[in-house]
Amino acid sequence: MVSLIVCSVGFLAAIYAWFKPRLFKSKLCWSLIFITSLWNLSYSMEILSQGFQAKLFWCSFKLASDFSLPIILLLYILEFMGIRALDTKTQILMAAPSATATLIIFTKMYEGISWVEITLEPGNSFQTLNVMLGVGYQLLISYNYLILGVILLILLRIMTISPKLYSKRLSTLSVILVVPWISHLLFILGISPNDLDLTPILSNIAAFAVVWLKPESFYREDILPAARESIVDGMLDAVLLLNHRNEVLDLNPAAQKISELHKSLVLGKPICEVWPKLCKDIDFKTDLSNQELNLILDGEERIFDVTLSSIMNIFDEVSSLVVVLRDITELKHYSEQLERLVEERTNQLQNVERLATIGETATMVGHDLRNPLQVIVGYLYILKNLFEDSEENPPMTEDVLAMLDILSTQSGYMNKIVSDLQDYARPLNPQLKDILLEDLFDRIISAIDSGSVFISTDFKAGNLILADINLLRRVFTNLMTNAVQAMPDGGKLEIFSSIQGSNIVISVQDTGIGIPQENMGKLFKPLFTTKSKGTGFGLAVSKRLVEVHSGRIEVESEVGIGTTFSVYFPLHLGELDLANPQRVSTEELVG
Amino acid sequence: MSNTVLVVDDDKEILSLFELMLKSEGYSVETASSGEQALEKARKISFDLAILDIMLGDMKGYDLAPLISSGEKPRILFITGYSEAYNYVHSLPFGPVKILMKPVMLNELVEVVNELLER
Repeated sequence: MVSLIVCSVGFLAAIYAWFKPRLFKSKLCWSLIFITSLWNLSYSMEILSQGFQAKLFWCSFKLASDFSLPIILLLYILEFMGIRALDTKTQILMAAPSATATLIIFTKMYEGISWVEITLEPGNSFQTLNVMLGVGYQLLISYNYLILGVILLILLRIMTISPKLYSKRLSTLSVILVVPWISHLLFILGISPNDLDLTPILSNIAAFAVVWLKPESFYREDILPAARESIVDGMLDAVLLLNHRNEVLDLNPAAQKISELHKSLVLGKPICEVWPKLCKDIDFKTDLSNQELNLILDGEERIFDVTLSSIMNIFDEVSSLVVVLRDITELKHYSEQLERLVEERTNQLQNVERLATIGETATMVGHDLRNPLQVIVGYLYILKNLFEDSEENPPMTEDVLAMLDILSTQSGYMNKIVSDLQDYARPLNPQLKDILLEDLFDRIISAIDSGSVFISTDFKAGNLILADINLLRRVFTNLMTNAVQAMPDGGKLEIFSSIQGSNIVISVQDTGIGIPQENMGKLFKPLFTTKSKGTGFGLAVSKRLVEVHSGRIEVESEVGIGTTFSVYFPLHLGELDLANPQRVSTEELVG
Repeated sequence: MSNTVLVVDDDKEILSLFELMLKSEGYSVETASSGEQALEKARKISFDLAILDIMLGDMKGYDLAPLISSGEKPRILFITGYSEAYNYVHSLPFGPVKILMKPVMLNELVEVVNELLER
């Protein structure tokens, strides 16, 4: 009766497992419950039913489930332990004998092979069938015992090799294996109560119990400590475990490497004795993070970040200390590099911001200055005309004219400062036209005050350029004014062109005082000047004006010998109208 | 008959300077110190040339130009201290115009005015 209840619960469980694939992921788990339940049921029914035919019917079921159980058990154990040595094909092959036997039983074929004689056992109060097994079944039983042997071997092997990884699962499995086997042994030895075989019902209960205990959870509990150990052993960070007396309890391979200590030699010894350097530099008393330790490894200085975490006992005292050393040499290196870069960029930005403010102010001031300048320049011109036309008092007129000239020159200088400031700040939109260098430089030379400097030009190598005439005039006016100022005692200023690759180069060469090496890098920076009256915008503006033509300025200088500025412009081959160049005329020029 | 020139600038000193210079060259000169005043004068008098500042108190010279000029008459000459104007005026949607930067030399001014009026 008890058997019947157990087996019906077993069937229900099997059905439940079948419909809840998420809870019982394995079909084998379902099969195990089903087969043990069937075995239990058929054995119970064989005993309880009346008549030879009925008993024979249940006996067939009993044998079928009995024969199928070992192979299902083996497959279940393999899966349960996470062993995937057998592929699906092999599994099917291994299950084939049991399946064949089941088929033979139910088709009643080859009965000679299956059983020789079936009789009712007279002496038994529960009246089970006494089956004389045939050769086929003898073989099958041997095969099943073989499988059981294999299971035993697998378990023994697991127990000897890695007991830690499987400990919880091994104890669980021992339930399902040991309990039925003991009962089977009792039955064979004939000391079973009422001479009944209790194996089916106990197997049924055991299978049920094992599945109910959820093997997955044991798997997790088994694997976690093993996985953690494997992580700690494999990690690059050095990990040390110390007890409350700072004696070494454990250290991982990385820690052994950097401390140059061997685990077996230091376990149980005080850390201050075996690794004085760590003890000296690191404060173990506090739970401080981010302490740093410098070590020389393979002749190279490495920086380690040391983190301490204490493990407390139930009285809230430190029972042990985990010390983690992380190599942060590269990290520190990169962060320092990054800091430097940020600082550099910040300075650049501040500089840009400063220049932008100067630019805005310059535009504003420039515009405001241009109107008064216009009035001054205009009346100077009219005054000069008035005095030149005047015939009265000639000596005084000469003096006044000389003074007016000085005023003109100075207002011209003011105008240049304003223009430089504005040109540095304003957006540029060059109007490219073909320009004859000869004409351009004739005009520039006539406008600048060259004093005692002798100026010569040579444009035989290249006389035509595609550029904005007004911008170009400003560039060379600046360069030539600088050159003249660099030759206070006179000298030679040569302007000449040459073709270099895809560039036309216009050189401005003087025999002046030269530029000291330390100033070369600052030449084109705005606000850099060595002149008492300079704004420091002349060369910065020139550079900018050249760059909007996709050109560049290079400079060579030797103190006491002279300076050469070379201005490179792309040749714009194919765009120049060589046959019909436009002549520079007054109306093209502005300001 | 002498050509008539309109000079527009919000700086009165500049107006009298240009007026003095152009009158001495034989032009008949009218002045305006704001855009509004310029529009008023342009309605009454027909000009051959308008000399415009760009930063006027009430409007921009390049906005004033199309209001008083058909492109043919009066011709437009900008004289400005506003350096961006140089870029801007090149992309104006009307007529051939000239632009000079302040401070402009008066002889240069006379040259350009003569040329514009084909004198």
